[in-house]
Amino acid sequence: MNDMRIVERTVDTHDVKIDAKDVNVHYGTSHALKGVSVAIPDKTVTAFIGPSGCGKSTFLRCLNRMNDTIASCRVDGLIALDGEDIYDRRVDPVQLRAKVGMVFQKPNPFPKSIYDNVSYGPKIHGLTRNKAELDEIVESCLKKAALWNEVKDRLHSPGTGLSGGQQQRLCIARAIATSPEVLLMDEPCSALDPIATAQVEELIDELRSSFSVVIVTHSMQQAARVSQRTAFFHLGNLVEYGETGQIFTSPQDPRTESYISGRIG
Amino acid sequence: MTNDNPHIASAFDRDLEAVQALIMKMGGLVETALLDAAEALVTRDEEMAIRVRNGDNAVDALEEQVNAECARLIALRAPNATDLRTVLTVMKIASSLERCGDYAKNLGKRAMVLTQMAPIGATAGSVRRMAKAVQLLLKDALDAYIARDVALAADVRLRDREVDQMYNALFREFLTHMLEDPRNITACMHLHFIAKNIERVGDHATGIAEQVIYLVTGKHPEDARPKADVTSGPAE
Amino acid sequence: MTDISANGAAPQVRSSILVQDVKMRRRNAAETRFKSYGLIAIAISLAILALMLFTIFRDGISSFRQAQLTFPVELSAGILDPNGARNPADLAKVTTVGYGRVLDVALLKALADKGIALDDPKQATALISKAAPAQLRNIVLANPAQIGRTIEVEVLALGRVDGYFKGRVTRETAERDPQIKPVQLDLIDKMRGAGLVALHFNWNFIFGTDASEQRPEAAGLGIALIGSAYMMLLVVVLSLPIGVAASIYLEEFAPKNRWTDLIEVNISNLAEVPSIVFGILGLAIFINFAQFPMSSSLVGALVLTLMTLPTIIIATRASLRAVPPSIRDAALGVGASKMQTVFHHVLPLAMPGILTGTILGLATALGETAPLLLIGMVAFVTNYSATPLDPATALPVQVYSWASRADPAFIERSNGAIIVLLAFLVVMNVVAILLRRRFETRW
Repeated sequence: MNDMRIVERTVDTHDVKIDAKDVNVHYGTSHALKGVSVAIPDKTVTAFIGPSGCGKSTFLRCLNRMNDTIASCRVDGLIALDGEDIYDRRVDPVQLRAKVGMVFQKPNPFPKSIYDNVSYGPKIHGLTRNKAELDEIVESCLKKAALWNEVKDRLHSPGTGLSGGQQQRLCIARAIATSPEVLLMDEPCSALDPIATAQVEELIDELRSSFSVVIVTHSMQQAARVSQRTAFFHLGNLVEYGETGQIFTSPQDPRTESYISGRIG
Repeated sequence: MTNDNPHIASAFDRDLEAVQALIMKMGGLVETALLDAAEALVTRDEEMAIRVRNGDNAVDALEEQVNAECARLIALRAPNATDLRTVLTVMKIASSLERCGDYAKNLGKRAMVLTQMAPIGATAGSVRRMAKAVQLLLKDALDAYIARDVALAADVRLRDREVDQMYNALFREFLTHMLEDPRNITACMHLHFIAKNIERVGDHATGIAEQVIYLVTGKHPEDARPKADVTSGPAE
Repeated sequence: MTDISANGAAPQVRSSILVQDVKMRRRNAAETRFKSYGLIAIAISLAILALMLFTIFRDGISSFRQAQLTFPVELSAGILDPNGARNPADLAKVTTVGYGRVLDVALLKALADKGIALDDPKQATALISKAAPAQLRNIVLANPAQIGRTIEVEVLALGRVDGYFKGRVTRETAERDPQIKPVQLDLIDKMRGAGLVALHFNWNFIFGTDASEQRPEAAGLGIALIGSAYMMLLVVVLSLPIGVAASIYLEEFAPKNRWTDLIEVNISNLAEVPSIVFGILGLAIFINFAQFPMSSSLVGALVLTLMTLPTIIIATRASLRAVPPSIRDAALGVGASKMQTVFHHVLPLAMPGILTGTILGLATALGETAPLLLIGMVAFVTNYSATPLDPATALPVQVYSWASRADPAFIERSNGAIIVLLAFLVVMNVVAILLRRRFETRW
């Protein structure tokens, strides 16, 4: 596409944050991802779309090694975060996950207070020296997650008592509290109503200024709304990866075309 | 309308087909109006000219209907990719056809006036030839749209040049007539406007052809469209 | 339009939703029947429970009240403290025989005062329990200053007196009873009229030590209570950490392979092993091999721990598995290590389930008799055990041994012991429920 855009949507000016080259994932004998290569730019929202079982969530979970928890899962290929291979033997996945935060499909706040939810990450990673610093982190993260005004008077009431949208924003606050460099989101709005979805999407757009955000979504409209780059997965292959506007107006691959226009492909 | 790859939601396909059928209907009306107006001009048939003038209301109504359907489609189906481009081109084509309809109406009006005046040489025949050529252009553009035929659309773009040349020839002819006898000026001015409007319809046909190319390829044709209308250019 | 539908079928009558059709009625009837089966099942089980509780309470509640003789006793210094020095060492030398004589004299005097005539003084003195002199001795030794004065004492009456009050002993049975004569029953009636003998609340039954075959009136549950309490405490302390640790390892850390499968199957099998097998195991390992003291609550606790562990492990694993994986994902997602995930998030959520499993295991262990019999906890113990290493007995074992004694007075006490056992269980459950509620209300 040409660069003569009136709306500021710079996507090609940033450095590559995550560089995946020829990633293959096997679950036991099934080949879940086939030779995926993607360069995810920094400070950009990248959306992964595709039908169920296409490997998009699998790939997302490779990016912070959440697949390690599945015994039968085997990952080949290179995934580099700022040029460092995250599957290197010296990498501790726990440390990696502090840098690559994750928000899940279902809002899953810990059954603890709102404050404890947000402060948990900084606490276990020893990011703060005292209570005042922790308070500060909690407040700033809740503010970033656009939740502060709604919960500031009840920080010590349980996080599970919030509404679905608030819970998901709490989970985002919790994820950004460890000051990650990349935020992975696995269908973060699939359990939310449209208003809460809009709030979370607005939040994602704001987070873009500080993080590289990767979002898996089943809603193509959501991918279109929030992302700058879109990758379409199909049957374990990365079919097409490009600027979101281009993917949604004139995709190059007929499979992408069929999928995003709702045809039996 | 190719439908070898239907939507999962068949109602979406039906909606898209319905709105495109409206376009076809509009195209048919406009083509007929164009030919009839030229015919009325040649045969000095005032009644036919009046019919053409009144016929435009139908085209306008159809355009309204197309716009409403497209708005519905966008709101309810959130079309993407080809579907999005289809809806966009349908709207543009509808608006082009509506303009063409207006031109045909204008042709009719002027034909009515011209029946009251002495004919200017054989220009009416030339105008009718030009109208015929443009109608063919419009028909081909719409056929290309139906068949998603890029080659035919590209051909339409090229053939617009011929229309432009016809217009240039007519322009010179009118000039000559006006220079010969100032009493011809009124009729010639009308005839010139008629020719100009027909030429504009040709331009719209080209525009439709370009929409076809965008619809199929996702890209607007990059090369500048070949132009042969030199009357508005720098002095010859 | 005609009534014939498009495919030419017979005209369809539109059925009204206000009328139930045949199928619907049948379905509703089946549903009603099924509900009534359920209600009947519940009613039957409730009735059986109620019957059981009713019989236990009918036969056992009376054991909490005991016939006691109340009369003034002159603590004559001449008999109880011949030296007159009130020296505790000298006082302790006086045997229960001496105290028995004091009691006999005092009772006869009291009868004379009330104007109750006797054919034979033995008829009256035989009504004093053989445990009574020891009671009086304890009273005196607790406060030697009372010697020389006349005090009002309350001592146990003979078990037959108690039985007569509770309807167990009648004139017919007394005819054939070597311990009591019908004429004595008349005497008891007169004494009751004079306020010398009555039923009083019997703390001794709950806290006293066991007594011999001849003195059912003195038998108490104290040692069984201590034994059971020690064992429950030790079982919790031993099996909860071991069981929870094993479950966490198996559920969260262990690789899933043939070995863990084998262990899993074996744990499930252990839960099904008859408890007596654990008794034999305990006898072989803890007593014969490890030389732990026989009949001690420690050995009992170890055996019961072995028995309870599978139950706790199975319950704990089930409740760990029931913690939604999203919580684990969330913790791992913010960079918690596996152990932090388990201890900060999974375990607290599983805690109510673990407590439920534990209390189930403990309740079974509390009611367990067979393995304890094998390790000698059925012994006749008369000294309160100070530590878990001392010999003790347990509530269910006490129920068992009392129930097997000849004197019908022990049957009443056996039922009473069941009531105490049930109360023990209720207390334990209440504690568990309170604990669980605390864990649950934390979020």
